[in-house]
Amino acid sequence: MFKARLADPKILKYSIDAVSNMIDEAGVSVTKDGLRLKAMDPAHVALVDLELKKEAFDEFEVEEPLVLGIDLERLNTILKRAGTDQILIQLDSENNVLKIRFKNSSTRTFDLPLIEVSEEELKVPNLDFPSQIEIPPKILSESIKDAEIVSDHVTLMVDEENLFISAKGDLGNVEVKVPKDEAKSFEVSKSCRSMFSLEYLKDMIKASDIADSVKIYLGDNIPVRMDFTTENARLSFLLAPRIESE
Amino acid sequence: MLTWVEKYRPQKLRDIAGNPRAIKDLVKWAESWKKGIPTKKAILLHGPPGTGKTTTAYALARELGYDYIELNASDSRTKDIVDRIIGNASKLGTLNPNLVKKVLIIDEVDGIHGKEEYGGLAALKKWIKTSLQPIILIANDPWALPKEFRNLCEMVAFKRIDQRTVLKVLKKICSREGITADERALKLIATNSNGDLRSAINDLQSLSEGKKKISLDDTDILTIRDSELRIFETMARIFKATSCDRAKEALRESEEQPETVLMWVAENLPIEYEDPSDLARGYDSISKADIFLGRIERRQDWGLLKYAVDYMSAGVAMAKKRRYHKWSRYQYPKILTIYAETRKKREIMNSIAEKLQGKKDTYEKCHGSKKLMKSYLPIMRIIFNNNYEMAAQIASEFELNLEDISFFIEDNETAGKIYYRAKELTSERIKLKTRGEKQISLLEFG
Repeated sequence: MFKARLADPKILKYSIDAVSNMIDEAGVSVTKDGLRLKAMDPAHVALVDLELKKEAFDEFEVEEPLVLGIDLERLNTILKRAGTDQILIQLDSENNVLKIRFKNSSTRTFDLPLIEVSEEELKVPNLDFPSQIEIPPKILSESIKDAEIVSDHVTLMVDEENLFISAKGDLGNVEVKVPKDEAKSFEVSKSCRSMFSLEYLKDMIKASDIADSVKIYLGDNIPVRMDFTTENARLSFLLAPRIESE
Repeated sequence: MLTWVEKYRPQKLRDIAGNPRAIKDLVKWAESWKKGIPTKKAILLHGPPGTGKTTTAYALARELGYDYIELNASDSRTKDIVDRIIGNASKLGTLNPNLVKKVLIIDEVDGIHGKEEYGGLAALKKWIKTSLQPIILIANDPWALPKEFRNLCEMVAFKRIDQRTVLKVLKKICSREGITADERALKLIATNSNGDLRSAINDLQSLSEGKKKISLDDTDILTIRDSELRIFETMARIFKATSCDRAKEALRESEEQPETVLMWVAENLPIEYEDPSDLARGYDSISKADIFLGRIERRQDWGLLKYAVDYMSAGVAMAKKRRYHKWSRYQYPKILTIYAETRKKREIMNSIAEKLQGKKDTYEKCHGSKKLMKSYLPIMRIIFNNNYEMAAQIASEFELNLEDISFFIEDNETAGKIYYRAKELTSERIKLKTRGEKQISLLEFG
C-alpha cells in the first residue's frame, strides 16, 4: 500500500523534469521517510540521486518499503499535464500501475504502468572534492544558459577569490565571475578546474526553479557534484568531466 | 531459473575456453589505452556464435578495472540513441575516477540495419573516429559491415572452439551440477555443437532437464546443428516453453527476423499443439502478432515490435494448457515456398501495373494506384484471349513487351503474334505523329 498527496505539484514536476531527459527508467524506492531515486544514465556519465522527504508531501502513507519501476519519460509527460492541480499518487499493486490523479474542479486520473527494473543497488563513487561552493541556483542556471550560446561545453574553475564559469566557442567566448562574497559558503582548499558537457548541465539546472541553494563540489578533472536543496527535498547530480583532448 | 550459459559464464579472462590468441590481442590493445589513445580506437571481435566474444569483452572490462556500458541488439540503435549514449560516453570521462577508462561494448554490430536503425552505423563510425574511450564491437559476420567501417577497427577473429575444449567444459558443468553422463553422449553433444559452446551447454541443459543421468540414448533428440537447423530449435523452445521468459528468450536468441519466425510458428503450431482450444488460443496470439507487424510496416513504428515479439513467443507458449511431451517434425513454411515460386509472376504483374500507370513515360496513362491497375489485369486477360486486335492495341499503347503479353496468354505463338502486331501499330502511330508534327511546323512557318 502506498498513497501520497501533494497540494503543490511544483517540486515533483520540476525534479522529474530535470532527470527524465538523462535517465529513461529507474527504480524509485518508497520508505516511510519518503521517496528516493538513484540512477545512472545509460552512457554512465551522469548519476542522479533524488530525495523527496515525507514532509514534502501533504499526506504520505506506506505500509512497507517498496521499489517502483518507473518509466521517467512517461511520468514526465503525465506530470506536465498537472498544471497547478493537487496531485494524488496511489499504487494499484493488483494491476501493477501507479494511479496519478490531478484534482481541481475536475478529477483526472492517469494510469502509469510499472516496469521491471534491476534491484541492484547503485554504488555512488566516493570522491574527494577540494572545493565546495554554495550559491543561489539562479546564478548557476543563468551562467549555464550564457555558456550555451557559444559552446556545447563549459569550464568550471575556482580560485581563492572567485568561481568562474566560462565557455569558449567558434563564435566567441563567455566568462561569468562569481565573487566569494556572493556565495553562501565558499570553501576552496586549492584552485581547480574541470570541463563539462552542457547537454547534461542544461537539464540539471531545471532543478534551479525549486531549489533554495545549490552546492557545487569541484575538483581537477574529476566529476562535479551539484546538490540542489530545499527544506524537504534534495536533488543531487554527479557528472563526469569532459576529457580535454591533447 | 538461471540458464547454465549464464550460470557458468566465465568472469575471468583465464577461465574463458578457447581462442587464447584472440584474447591476447584484445588485452594488448586494451592495455595500450592506459598509456594513451591508440590509432585504432575500436576493436572488432568477430566470429561464429558461441565462441566467447561477448563473454571476453565483459571479462576484460572487469579485469582491467574499467567501467563499461553496453548497447546490444535489444536496444534499438537509431542515430539518436547512438549519438546520445555512445557519443556522450566516448567523449566524457568516468564517474568514478578510480576506473580510469570506460569500455563501450556494442554487441551484434552487424545487426544494425533496417529502416528503424537507419543512420545508426554512420553515427557509430563518427564516434569511433573521435572516441576518447575504448570501443569493443562484436559481430558474427564482419563482412556485412562496410569496408570503411572495418578499416577503423582493429580486427580480432574468434574461431570455433575445438571439440576437446567443449567436452572439457561440459564435463566440468556435469560435475558441478552432480550429473553423471555417458562420455559418448557428451562427445556427441560436443561434435554436434560444431564449435558453438553456447549451444553445446544449452543442449546439455535441455537433455538433463529433470534428471541427473545422461545416457547415449538421450542424445537421439539432438539433430545436427547448423544454421538452417537452428530455427527448428527456436520452434521447439517456443512450443515447449512453460514460462513467458523462456519463450521470449528463445526468440531473442534466434538469428531469424521476427517476420520469419512468425511464419514458422504459424506453420508448425498445428503440428505441435493437439488440443483444439490450445490451437485456437495459439492462433489468436499469432494473429495479434501479425497485426502488430502490419502496424510496424505501415507506420514504421518499431517500438511496437516488442508486442509482436511477445505475442508470437510468450503468447503462443502460454496458449497451451500443458506441455506436449513429444517430438515433432517441424516443417518449412509453405508460404515462403509459395512466395519463392511466384516471385517472377509477381514481378511481372508489378511491371505491367506500372506500365498501365505510365508514370515512367512523359504522360500519365491510366490515372490510378498500382492496386487499381492490378484489378484491371483479369479483364485484360479476357481481352487478350478473345480479341487479338484489341489486345495488340492495348499492348502498343502501354508498350507491353513479350514477357508481359505472355502473362495473359499461355500460348507462346499467339503471344508472339500480338507482340508483332503491337509493334506494327506503334510504328504506324509514330509515323502519323511525326507527319502531324511536320504539318504543324509547315503551318507555323508557312
